[in-house]
Amino acid sequence: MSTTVDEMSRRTGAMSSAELSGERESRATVGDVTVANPRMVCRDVDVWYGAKQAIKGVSLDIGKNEVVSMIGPSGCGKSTFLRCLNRMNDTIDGCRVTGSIQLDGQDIYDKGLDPVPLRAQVGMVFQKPNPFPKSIYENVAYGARIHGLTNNKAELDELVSASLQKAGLWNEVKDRLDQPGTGLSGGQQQRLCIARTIAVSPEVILMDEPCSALDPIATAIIEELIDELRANYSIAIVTHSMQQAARVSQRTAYFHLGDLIEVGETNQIFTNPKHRLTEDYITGRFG
Amino acid sequence: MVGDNTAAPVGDIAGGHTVRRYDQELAKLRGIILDMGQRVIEQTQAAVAALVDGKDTQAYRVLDREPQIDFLSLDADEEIFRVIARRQPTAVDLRIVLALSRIAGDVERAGDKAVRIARQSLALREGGLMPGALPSDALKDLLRKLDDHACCMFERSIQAVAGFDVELALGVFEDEPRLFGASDEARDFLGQEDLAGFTPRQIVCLLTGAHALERIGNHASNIAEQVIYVSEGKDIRYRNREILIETLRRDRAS
Amino acid sequence: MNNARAAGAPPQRTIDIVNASLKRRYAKERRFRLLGLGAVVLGLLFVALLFADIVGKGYTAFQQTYIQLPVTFDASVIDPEGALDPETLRRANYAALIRKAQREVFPEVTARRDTRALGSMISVGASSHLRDMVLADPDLIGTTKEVWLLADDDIDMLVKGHIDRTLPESERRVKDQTLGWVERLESEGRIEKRFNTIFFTHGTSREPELAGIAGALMGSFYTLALTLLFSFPIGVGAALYLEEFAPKNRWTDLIEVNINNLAAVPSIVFGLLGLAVFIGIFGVPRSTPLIAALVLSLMTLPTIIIASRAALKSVPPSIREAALGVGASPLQTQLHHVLPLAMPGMLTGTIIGMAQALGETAPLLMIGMIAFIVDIPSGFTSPSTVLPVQIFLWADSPERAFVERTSAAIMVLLAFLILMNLTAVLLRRRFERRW
Repeated sequence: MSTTVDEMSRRTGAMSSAELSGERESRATVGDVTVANPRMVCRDVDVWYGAKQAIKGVSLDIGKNEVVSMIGPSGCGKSTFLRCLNRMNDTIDGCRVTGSIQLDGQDIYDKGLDPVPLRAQVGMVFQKPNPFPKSIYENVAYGARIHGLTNNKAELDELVSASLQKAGLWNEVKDRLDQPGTGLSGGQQQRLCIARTIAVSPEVILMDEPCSALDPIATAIIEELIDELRANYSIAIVTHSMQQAARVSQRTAYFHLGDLIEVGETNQIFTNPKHRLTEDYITGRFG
Repeated sequence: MVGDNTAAPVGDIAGGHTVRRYDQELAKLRGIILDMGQRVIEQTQAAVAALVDGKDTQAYRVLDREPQIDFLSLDADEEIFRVIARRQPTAVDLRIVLALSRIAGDVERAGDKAVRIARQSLALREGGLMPGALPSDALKDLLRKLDDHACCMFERSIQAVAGFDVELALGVFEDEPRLFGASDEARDFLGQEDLAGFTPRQIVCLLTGAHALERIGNHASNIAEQVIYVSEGKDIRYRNREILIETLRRDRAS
Repeated sequence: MNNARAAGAPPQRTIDIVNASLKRRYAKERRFRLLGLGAVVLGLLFVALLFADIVGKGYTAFQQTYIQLPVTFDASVIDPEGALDPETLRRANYAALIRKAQREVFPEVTARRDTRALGSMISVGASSHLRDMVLADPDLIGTTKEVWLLADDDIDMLVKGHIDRTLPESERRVKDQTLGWVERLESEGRIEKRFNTIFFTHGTSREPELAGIAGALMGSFYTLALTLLFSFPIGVGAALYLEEFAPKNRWTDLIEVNINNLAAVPSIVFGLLGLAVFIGIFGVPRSTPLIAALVLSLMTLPTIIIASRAALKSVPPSIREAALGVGASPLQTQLHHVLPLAMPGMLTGTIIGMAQALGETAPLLMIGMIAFIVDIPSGFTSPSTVLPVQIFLWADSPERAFVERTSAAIMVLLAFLILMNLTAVLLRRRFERRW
């Protein structure tokens, strides 16, 4: 047993020197990054912010009808990786992405590919509920309007109500669709954002800490919603709450200092993680 | 190895949490179980002394001290309940808590076995039929050997819990054949057609006592299984022991 | 010492130490608050003084002295041929009518010098007033009517009390003789102060009683309208590009620094620039709202760009992410979401820039806006002047009556400035509440 103490101290020592130099080789990922039925396939993704490498050789599949959760300490690159999946990183100056990320076999970083339609296919829900300061109806209808998904008002009405129903918000707001979306409670706002995202019928929904600003009840409602949405969408969720990752996801990926340390069935990750770093993190031993 | 572990009774496997109070809670839980284990060993030794050497006072003392182990077991349960509710342990912590819960049960039942031996000792000598030590030196040796094996296994398993030490746990498994051997010998001796000096009723008492000793050894094995479960993350109950020991040894070597 | 205290028998509790210093701290706080209050009161006092001075000097300009005379619209003077030809009516000698009317009121005045003094009591603009009456209603010809005629500025000053009647004649602008006539007219009820419509309807004039701010107001209006037209779209566009689209590199940094520097450039430099570039190279007609607007646009652009960028920055990035996240293009994101939210801030900045432009004088002097222009400008390229320049010109005039007109014009300018700033505040408050 005493040998483990040595191992640990050696490991932490190596870690801090690596942090200082920032020139560490990427770590091999423990566990199987592939799935039988992938929707998105990422291979050897590196992300650089200027000279700083934020993601080091990450490979990960996102399967159809599954929820993949990404966990890890702050600054581990999980959000960065998530934002690569719909090219939200394009808006950041000096951000460079290499490697391949494919959506249904199409490389999304292909020179000729337009990120605008991509973001309709890969929707995103953000940490802070961010409804537009417009009416509830307009919030949901906006995406459909700009993409021209509907031909007339009746179709748009139908789409708005269907999206709100899918997001489990319809019964709460059906009588006040013309009221501002910003007037809803935090949890309702987040569900409105989910409705807005699914209104453009994406294939993948990315969620960046969707519940971090919500109370436990609202969180539970969103988690239940995520589980329902799994039937029709692939979902990748970044969360700081390990319990949430354990509750909502089928697969879990643990990121650490830009490396994807371990991927596996959520059940396995939370009962018997293979990598020591994963275990330290999920059991609360991470400094 | 043993020295190493006694030097660091709280191995790092359950420690090192960012929330140090969590470490303390797990350490307290483990302390209760180690305390129980220590008491069970004393109880067993006292009970065997009573059985073999006819020391009735020892037997009564065993009976008197039994409730303390029961209370410790209740404390352990309470602590486990609290840790699960407040800390929501995952991964290794979850295994530790689950394993300690099962270990607490095994230790408590091993304690019951000591009581059973003490009771057999009293029953053996009921009505002043056979005061003092057992008349047969061979039987005494056999029972002492069985007791040695059982207590050694149990002590080792408790030490394994102290550091969740796989080596010690494997040692417990390796002791099993000797325990079974000693147990068989004792049974064979008591099962002789022409065993002189014992009434059938006394033979039953002695058999029961020997069986209880063997069961204590079995509990030690169960505890060792839980230690392996914590350290290796594998549930190895109901597996072939020899293959298991071999694979575990190989894994550790590599 | 600390150790000694720590080891000493009575351990001092934090609360005791805090209580001991509390009084001193509160006293300090009170002093600071009083100082702040004092500064504010002092500031308000000066503002009040300024306003009191301006209003005190200027409010009388909103009234004008009129003298009532029985004017006989003599057909032989106005329309000897009786053809009622408008051209004839326009050219008739109405001054003669006034002189005649004065003779009727003051029959004893006959000496040539005295009649001239008598005539100078009435403004030279009075005859055109009579002309307008006749042109509007030719039936007046041949009748006699009591008409209120505009008094000369000296009489006006006298009636308003700006000329001290107790001074010896030699030190007074109005001679004793005229003073006597005025007092007689006053006793007969033939002198009256009325609301000064001329001030708001006429252009400037050499005669104070005929000078108005209408020309300058219209000039300012045309100038500001054009300035807004030029600077708002360019300013907002520049801000939007710099803030949202431009790559962040050395060039954009340079541009940013320069914009901030431009905001600090003395305004007269813009006037020189306008003179050299717009007039010298492009040949824009000088002294027009067009050239003024071009120069003022240059001047207000930095203000608008800086305010607009601040407004854009204050729009939470989550809104941009939300729009991009549902697949809006960058331009759609800006136009549909960011710009509407930033608009109140941009408008506030623009209005403040406009207010600055409205009050600006120095650069306009460089581009000929100082010319004496009587006509009210009718378009963007007609010669004109603007309010602050008009004030500057009047303040320079020697006549006593221009003093009150200057103050009155300042009051009008201040009223517009306050109105604009108020609009900015209201806009901001109105939209802030919504967000």
